[in-house]
Amino acid sequence: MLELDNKTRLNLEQARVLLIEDPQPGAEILAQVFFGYGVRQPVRCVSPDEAMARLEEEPFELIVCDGDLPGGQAYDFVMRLRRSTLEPNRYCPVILLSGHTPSAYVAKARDCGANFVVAKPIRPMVLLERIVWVCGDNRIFVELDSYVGPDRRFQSLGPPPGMEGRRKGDRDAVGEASTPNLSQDEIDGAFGKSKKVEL
Amino acid sequence: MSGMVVKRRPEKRLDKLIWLPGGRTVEAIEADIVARMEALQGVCASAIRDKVQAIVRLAAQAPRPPRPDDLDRLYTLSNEAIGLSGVADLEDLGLAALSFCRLLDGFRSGADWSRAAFDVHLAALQLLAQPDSAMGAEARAVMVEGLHTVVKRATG
Repeated sequence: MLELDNKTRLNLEQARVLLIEDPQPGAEILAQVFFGYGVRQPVRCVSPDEAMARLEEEPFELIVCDGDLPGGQAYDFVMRLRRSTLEPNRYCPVILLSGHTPSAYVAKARDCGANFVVAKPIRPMVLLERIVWVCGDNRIFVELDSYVGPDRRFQSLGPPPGMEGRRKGDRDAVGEASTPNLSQDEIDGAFGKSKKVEL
Repeated sequence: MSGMVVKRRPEKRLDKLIWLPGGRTVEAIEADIVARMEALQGVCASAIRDKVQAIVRLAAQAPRPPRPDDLDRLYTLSNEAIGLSGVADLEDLGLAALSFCRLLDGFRSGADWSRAAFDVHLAALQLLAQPDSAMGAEARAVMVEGLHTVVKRATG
């Protein structure tokens, strides 16, 4: 993951950031973190409904939402936003914050259309790194019956050398393979040290 | 949209703004945030201790094993405690709360009820929440490590 150099300059003064967090003092922590980043006036909402109303009024560049809102409200909110007609907000990057983050939660967050999950307690500089990462994220936005949001495939490694690939854009996206296929030994080695068996 | 895949490449508006001239260095941002978080430390420490008290009260009132509703409420309170632990400078307490969440989530997902694992978490949370605890950092870390082991054994 990206690491920021101390001398790197970041300009979030003009960024319109929507924060959805409940209850206090979690909302205050989050707001102070964004003031610290230099955001002039983060917009604070305590519920997804209030957030949707704000999203109908003005464009935002970033949404940060408490993923632990009761009843899975955070996932529903992201799904609703992605499937809405709110341009350009429906494409806006969404970061979910979550305390206990089992893998099922991460999968749910990915499948609702969120861009990233960040674990609580918030480490402000880690969150900033994630924001910068989200800025440079080149994933396309896809719309299907079952899913709307950033492409859930983080890496496009393309088809193996000598293969055509199954998708039209495979070769355009990643270019020709520059190295030969891995041998079986190399693949096995990638999964850790193998045990010797005497026959 | 049935059966169709629509692909878009929306404008990266945040990316355009964040690299505009001006702004602040990462170093300056960090210094500013440290000062802001220090200002919130007392409020957060008090709030996280309130959460632990609420957990203990709720656990005392709940039957053994707790009902699904009780498990949900305990999980929510413990999860909220995790979020406050960083700013409160009570990271060990946050890790104990995380361990308690894992245990409760395990019970909710069908792991066998373990009174011992449940009670040892409550005791640890209370101990780590004490403002005048004589426990050193090493002892707190050992306690948290022990909780993780308990959860692994209790939930498989």
